[in-house]
Amino acid sequence: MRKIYFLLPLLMIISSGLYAQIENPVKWSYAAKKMNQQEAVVFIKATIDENWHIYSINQKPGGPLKTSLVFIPSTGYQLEGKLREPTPHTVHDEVFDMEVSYFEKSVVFQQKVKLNTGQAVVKGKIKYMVCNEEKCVTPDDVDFSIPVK
Amino acid sequence: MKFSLKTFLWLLPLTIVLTQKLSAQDNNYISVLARELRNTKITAFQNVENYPEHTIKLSDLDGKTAILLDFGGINCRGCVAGLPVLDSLQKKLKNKLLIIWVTQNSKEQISEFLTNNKIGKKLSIPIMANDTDLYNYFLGKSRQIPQEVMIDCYGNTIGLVGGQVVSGPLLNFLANVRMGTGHYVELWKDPR
Repeated sequence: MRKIYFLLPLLMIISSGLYAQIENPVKWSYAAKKMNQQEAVVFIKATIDENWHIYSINQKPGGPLKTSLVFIPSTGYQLEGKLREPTPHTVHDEVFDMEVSYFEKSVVFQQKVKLNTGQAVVKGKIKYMVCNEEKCVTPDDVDFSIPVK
Repeated sequence: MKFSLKTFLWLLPLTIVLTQKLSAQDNNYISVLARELRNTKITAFQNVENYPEHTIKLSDLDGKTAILLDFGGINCRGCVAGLPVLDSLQKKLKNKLLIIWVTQNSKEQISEFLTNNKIGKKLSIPIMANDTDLYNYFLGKSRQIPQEVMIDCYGNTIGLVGGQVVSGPLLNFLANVRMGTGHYVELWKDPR
């Protein structure tokens, strides 16, 4: 019986702790693929919870916040071309009265880089807003660091 | 009572269900906050658009009007979509309750929203631009919007409601708030 008295509060703390966490419906993951000694592509993937979405990097102002990725300049690499994204869902939104482009479930952003010394660590920051039909969350900026070997 | 693995396995889901229920009540209904606005350095709401002098002094409201702070932003679809309901609620409650839309958007963004957005054009509630103090104080690390904070006519922070602006919990909440008259207000019906 004593064990129950000990375990009950413990169980309550564990399970209530789960709900005290700040809601963040997006998980970010990273990868890199080397094309040759001079070129590589970095992949930045957002895995988005059911019923939530993030917005295109090309979302026009006046509506929801676009997703933006900022790469930190380095002597190890240079960006080659623009950041790429797949074709987003685009709809006319009645509330914003404009075209809104977004991604559901998952999206992979790609950036080609030119390697100066055959390898590099690509670092940067992701700013984004994630919304469902009722609410939005603007989490802290996400720092990334992607080794390219 | 013999404590076995079976008992443990039985207790685990029960405990989770119980705490989930408590936690859901916190999120969706009222979590009474033991914080008082009068104890903060906030003495006025600044940068208020849609309001004659762009500043609302708390001392002018003290003892007269309850305040509903609706935290939102022009980039949040759910927040903007809920504004007409708040606007009609404000018209209905007139001097008893002051509803302020608290945003972190710039003055220019708010002006553009009031001029160009079809919901914005019809709004009459005051809108606060460039806020950081109220966001930090009331929402802390929670970056979720919309969220509403109710302050009674004596400056006491009495509740935080998350999620839907027009939800039943908010309306039930308003039914139990000390408004300007010093009395509890009768149960509201959804203004929709």
